[in-house]
Amino acid sequence: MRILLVEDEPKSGDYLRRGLTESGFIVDWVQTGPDGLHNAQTNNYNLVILDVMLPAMSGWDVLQTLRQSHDTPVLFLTARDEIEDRVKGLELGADDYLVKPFAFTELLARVRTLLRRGPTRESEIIEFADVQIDVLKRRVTRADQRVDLTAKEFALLHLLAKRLGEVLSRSLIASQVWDMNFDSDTNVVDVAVRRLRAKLDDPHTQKLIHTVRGMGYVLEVRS
Amino acid sequence: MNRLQPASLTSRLVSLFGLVAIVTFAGVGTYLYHSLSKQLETRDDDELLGKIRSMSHLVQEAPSVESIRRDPHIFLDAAAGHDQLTVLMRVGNEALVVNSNPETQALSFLTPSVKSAELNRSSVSVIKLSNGESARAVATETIINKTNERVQIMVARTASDRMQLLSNYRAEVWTAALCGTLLAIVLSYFLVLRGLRPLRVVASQAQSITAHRLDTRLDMEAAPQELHEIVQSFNSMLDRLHGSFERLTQFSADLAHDLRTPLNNLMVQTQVAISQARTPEEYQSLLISNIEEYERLARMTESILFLARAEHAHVVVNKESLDVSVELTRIAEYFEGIADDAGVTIKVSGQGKLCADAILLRRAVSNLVANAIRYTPFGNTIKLSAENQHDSVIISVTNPGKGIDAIHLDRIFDRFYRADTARSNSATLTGLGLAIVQSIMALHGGTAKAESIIDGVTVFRLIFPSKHKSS
Repeated sequence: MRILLVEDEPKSGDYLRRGLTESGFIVDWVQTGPDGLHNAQTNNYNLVILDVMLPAMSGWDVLQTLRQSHDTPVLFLTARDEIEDRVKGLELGADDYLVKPFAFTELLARVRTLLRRGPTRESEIIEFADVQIDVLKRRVTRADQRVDLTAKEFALLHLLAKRLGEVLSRSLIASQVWDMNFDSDTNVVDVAVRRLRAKLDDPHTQKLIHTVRGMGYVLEVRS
Repeated sequence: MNRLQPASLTSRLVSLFGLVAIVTFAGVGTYLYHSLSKQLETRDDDELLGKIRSMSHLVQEAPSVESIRRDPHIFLDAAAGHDQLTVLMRVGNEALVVNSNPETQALSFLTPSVKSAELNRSSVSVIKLSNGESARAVATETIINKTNERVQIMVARTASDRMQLLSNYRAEVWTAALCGTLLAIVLSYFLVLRGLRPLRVVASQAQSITAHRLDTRLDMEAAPQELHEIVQSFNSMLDRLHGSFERLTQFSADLAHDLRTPLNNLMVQTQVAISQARTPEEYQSLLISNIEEYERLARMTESILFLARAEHAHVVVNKESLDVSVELTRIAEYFEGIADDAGVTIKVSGQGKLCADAILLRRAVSNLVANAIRYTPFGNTIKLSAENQHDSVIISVTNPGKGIDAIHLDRIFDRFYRADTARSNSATLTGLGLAIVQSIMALHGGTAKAESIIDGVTVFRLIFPSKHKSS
């Protein structure tokens, strides 16, 4: 997967490239609008990450010109989140936007969503390690043992399982499981994860839910 | 673009004064003129009547018409020295017996109407002279006592001298009125300038009020009665401004203060960490600790931006009809875990519809529930309920606990206001939760209220106006 990163701020560009590369993407980083436009037009990228405030040519202009010939997915980054700005970006054909400051996990999640072309068919049964999740019957077993979960605990496990191996931020979890689309001062997500762990992981030696400190939670099989 | 400027107060007042002066002078002048003219007329008429009476008397006493004709000087003397006065006499319709002023225009003889004894002012009439002038005249008939002859007497007086006097008088009155008006205008200009001085004093006082001196007030005592209302409204506007300004200043100070803590943590812990070589694990935990501080800063920024935008109504409110019980249950479920940890139960009650923005509603209620969980003692129950009143829907969050002091209740919705500086966990709380609740309510045209009984229950109420009322 090739990603074009257009970001003029050296520090941001550097850490974004490093983070994305370490997450398994091939990243080309350019620092100006015209370079970004040229690269996006001549190479075949799977995704363009575009900063709005760019020297020489603004992100809006790059996007507008690019859209005349290419429909590469574009995720734009902005420090301004006035409603007009968001609307403008989406109207010009951006596929998603992220407001600075953002969590890196949030960026990764958005990037993965944009790259997952087309709707993925949700499997009815998810299996990993010795866990089996029956999505329709809302039943979870581990090592053939029934794990009793509340509705929200099930939703949380289902979310983590769908994104197996992907670190999910607290705000993403809060938004997907409880439909709470705002950052809160509370540690609701941590408590919920801890409770899920108590039921899923505590009776077993192999732990499946991992805390990635400072970023969020991930469900994965670690050897 | 060039809008007509309203005339200055001074020029308005001066022109009004001028108008008043000219009307008054003209009125008074006209009155004086008429009264003088009347008086002169009366005096002339009295003179005429006096003359004709004495003539009539002389005629009565005369021996005969013949003697009068022969020797008219006694009658002529009476008219002598008065070139406007004419005395005429005739017997029957005969030629004149006496004509005191033969050079004057021929006067047609008036038909004597009254007997000499009945002469009064109303018997005087106006006759036109052939040269266009008018004259006042009176006529009578007298009988000579000795001969019983009837003699008609007429006395006439041209008005030219009176007219002359009056016309001079009129000219003078107009000149006086004009001068008086001019004088009044000039004087009133200075008087108005002087009279409006309190206004300028107030204006210069107002001018001296700057952002740094918002506590200055206009001097009510010094202002004239008529300006009291303006001064009062101005002062109360200053009160409001001062209040807002102080809150804003306080807010900036609090903001800076609250930013300082995480910044200080970041700086010091990072400096300590790099002052000597550490294990990778130590670096890792430093970075993670830093992330927590960054997240806190990011949350704070988001909250402050939200508040700032809400104040200018820049937040889009997507109102929709929401099922209250579904929303409250969702929030209760969200807090299930931490409530359970705190040994607190959340009880949801109430149903119905509410017209609100789902995200904002959840945010507001969540802030209240998070607070309630924080302050509810172990083993107690938080009540999350909704009730429909005729013009509003009230969502209330009730929890038992220590309660909030009345002095804090008023300010509890202020930004960064913390009722319990000692108890609050300032590392995670931004102190903006309740301020956000209040601005969310303002965006919905509703209000947030708090009531508390010490060592009793604390109730936070969100009052949403009903749909039909707000639309």
